Amino acid sequence: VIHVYGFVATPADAPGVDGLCGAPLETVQVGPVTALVSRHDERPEATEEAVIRHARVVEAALSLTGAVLPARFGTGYEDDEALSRAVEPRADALHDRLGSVRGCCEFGVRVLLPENEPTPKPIGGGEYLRQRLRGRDERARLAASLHGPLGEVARESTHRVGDTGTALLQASFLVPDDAREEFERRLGRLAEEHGRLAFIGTGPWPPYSFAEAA
Amino acid sequence: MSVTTDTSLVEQVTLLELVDRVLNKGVVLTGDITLSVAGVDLVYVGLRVLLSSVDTLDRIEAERVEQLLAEAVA
Repeated sequence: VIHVYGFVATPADAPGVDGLCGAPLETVQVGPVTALVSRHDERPEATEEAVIRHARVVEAALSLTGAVLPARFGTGYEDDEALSRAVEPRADALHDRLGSVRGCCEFGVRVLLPENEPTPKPIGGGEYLRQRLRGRDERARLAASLHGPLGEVARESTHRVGDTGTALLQASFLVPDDAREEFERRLGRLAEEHGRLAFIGTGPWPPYSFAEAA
Repeated sequence: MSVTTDTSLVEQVTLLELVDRVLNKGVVLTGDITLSVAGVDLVYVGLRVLLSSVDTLDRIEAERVEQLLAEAVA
């Protein structure tokens, strides 16, 4: 089975790190893009070690080439021919996508509401529903006010707003290298302004959330 | 802004984010994905974490992170 780590622009060498289970990395060129792969007797399981190893290969490829599209873990093919057949129809689009993410990195932002926020006791059916809806609107507004200033300095972004519970916002931002400082400054300022919220910022990551065009 | 100094929490959150990305994001081709997830536990992983948090992050118990992780691999 061929395990795929990601795609880089052709021509490319394999980064000098080991693949899953210590397997050597190889390249399979499919027109304008090159897949980074390793070969295994059995389909690799998604153990914690394997997930981390996969991520290391993606990061090494990014350092080496300046742009990588990570493949989702579990992308496997029987042989080179099956791999080429799968990639060929998408090769040009993947190459374009590599151009879009070059010079950028991904930052993740999760925002959590405090736990044990007093929840109003449910009243009658209609009033309860109105309160729920009002609460959802307020959450959406708050999430938008946090996402907005960060999205302005990002090239692209994705986000999900939680309707209930403590998870208010889960967002990813594709940030150009020259905007990183400003992005981090804005994130810090938001965290200062909203003391009752927990901000979890991670990165820089390879562009996992932006590997596919929106 | 106060940044959490609880390194084990930072590591757990980083691993959560990593697992979420590797398993749930990235290029998918022609539906040829079969994923088998073996026990993904929370241990140290020396990746980079940028920031941050306010004090409240320090109060998020490990169980919550584990729950989030379970959702990430679900």
